[in-house]
Amino acid sequence: MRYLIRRLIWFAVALLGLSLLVFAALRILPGDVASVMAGTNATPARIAAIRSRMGLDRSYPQQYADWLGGLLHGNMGVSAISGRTVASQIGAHAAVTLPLIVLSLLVALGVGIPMGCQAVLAGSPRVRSVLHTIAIVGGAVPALWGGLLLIMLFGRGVGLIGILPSQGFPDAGWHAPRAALISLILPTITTGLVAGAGIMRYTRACLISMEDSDAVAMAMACGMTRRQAMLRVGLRLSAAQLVSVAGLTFAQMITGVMVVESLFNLPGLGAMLINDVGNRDLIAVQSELFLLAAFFLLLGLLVDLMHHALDPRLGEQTQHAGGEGSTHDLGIR
Amino acid sequence: MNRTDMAQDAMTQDVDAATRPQLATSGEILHVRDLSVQIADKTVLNDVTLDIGANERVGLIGASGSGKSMLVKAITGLLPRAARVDGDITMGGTQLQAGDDAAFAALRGRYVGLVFQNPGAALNPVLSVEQQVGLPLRLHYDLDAGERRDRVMTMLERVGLPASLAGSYPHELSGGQQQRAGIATALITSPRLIIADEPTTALDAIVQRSIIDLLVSLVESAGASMLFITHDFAVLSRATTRCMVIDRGRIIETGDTTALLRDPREPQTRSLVNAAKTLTLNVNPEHHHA
Repeated sequence: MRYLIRRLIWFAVALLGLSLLVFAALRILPGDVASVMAGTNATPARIAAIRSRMGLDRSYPQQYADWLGGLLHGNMGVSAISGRTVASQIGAHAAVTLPLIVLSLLVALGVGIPMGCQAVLAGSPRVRSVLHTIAIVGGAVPALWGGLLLIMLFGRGVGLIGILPSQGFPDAGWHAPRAALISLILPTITTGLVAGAGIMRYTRACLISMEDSDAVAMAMACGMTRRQAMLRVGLRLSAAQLVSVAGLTFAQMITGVMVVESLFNLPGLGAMLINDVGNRDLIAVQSELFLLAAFFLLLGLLVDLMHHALDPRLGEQTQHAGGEGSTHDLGIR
Repeated sequence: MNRTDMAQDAMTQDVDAATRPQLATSGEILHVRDLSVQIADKTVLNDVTLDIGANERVGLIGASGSGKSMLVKAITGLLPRAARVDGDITMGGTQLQAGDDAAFAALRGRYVGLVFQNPGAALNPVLSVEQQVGLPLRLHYDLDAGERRDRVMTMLERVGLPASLAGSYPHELSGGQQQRAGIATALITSPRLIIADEPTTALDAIVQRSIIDLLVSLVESAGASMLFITHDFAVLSRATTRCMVIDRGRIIETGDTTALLRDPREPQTRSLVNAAKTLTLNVNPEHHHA
């Protein structure tokens, strides 16, 4: 519990530092949202009026305090370009990206972990080496190329077996759940399989490192077969590493999925961010960047907490109960 | 009750008939004939033949890399998959085929218990002492949780671990306590054969003796046999009555432990004994011979 509180305090401190960094970076970088909004022939007076209306003429500490206060109340401001609230804009685009990366991660884990295990445990050495090759080749395939291949195979209207939509997201969004889900199938497989190959390689490496471990031998000595010991002990003891890999994969997907969103013409967070940066939409970009980075921090926090839940050795101030010692107890420790 | 008392007490306790495996029908516990093992074209065991009878405590001694641990792994089916095994292994009346993992697994933890060299690495770090010690029972016997817990607590008491440590994880125990938990895990099902692979190497000198005494007393009280692997002659004479010497994958000498230590016949055994006397018994071998 003390670890959780300590970790949450650090999370809050990191968020505060992050907000300062994002705010400062966007003030240092060139480009003026008021000039963009006013147009190329705008007079200085009109630009000044827009700056005043947006609060950009106030001191930086005041602007920062206003923005932070808004964030704390869930108010991220209004986009200078679209006129919509930044929160609703992020919400609409996240409704495409988040389901896409969650589904992709599920595909990656669902494919990567069992195949990674099989690449170590399969009885036939030939099967093991074929699976190893699949992991290497799968990880080397660019998502863009894999996506194009899937479109050419399954894309409605263009593919050999044209059964799935390959462009766009329904206008009704998740109010038409079936259509929304179907439109995410090909992008999900594209992202999931590429990430799954990476997870497969990590799973294989983790299990190989456990194969000759004393813990697995002990489990076998208790009566497990090699396969049972590897799956119930080897994989369990590799869980913390696999959680880290899954967390990193998930974080990479948030930005990495932009290419796939673009290929499948999905209105995701990537397209929104690129658009807003291009338009110098300062208000929107600073909140979007902050939320994106905060999401990375949150993932890190969750991975750390899962490590603690999975491995009792990471518990608080654990000490052995005293008494007899090993050679390590004689001062080597 | 101190640990010595507990060990004495353990010696007087009857073996639990309910968990005693009913596999062996004769007095022969382990029977190995012409066992050879090759790993990546390297012969690690060469025509090894050995027998362990009921209630026997047999030592296996050899230099590093002589094949001691490989022999243990071959007997218990823990060799790497790449190993090529020839020869016969019969345990508990069951003739075991190399690669028949299920047959080996059915005997491991029930008919044969293993005590590892480094319990800190062998004990599962995410299992509590109670879960770890109860694992062979869970795998081999259909007991309800309460009964399993009762047996585990009794076993912990026998090995001298306080009940308060049942919920502790291995990293919360000292080296000696970890080895006691390892011994409890190996003995919880009252196996007929205990194989201890250098069980005191990772322990300091003070704890070594109590662990050896505990192991011997528990094996004796359980009416089990033991194969004890070590490179420490002081430990060997304390724990075993018969002894085999292994060198480059071959059993080169076998006999009564005391006699073999006093008068080794083979040159390799002689040099091993002399080296060990110098190192572990701090005796000048030349002077000792004279």
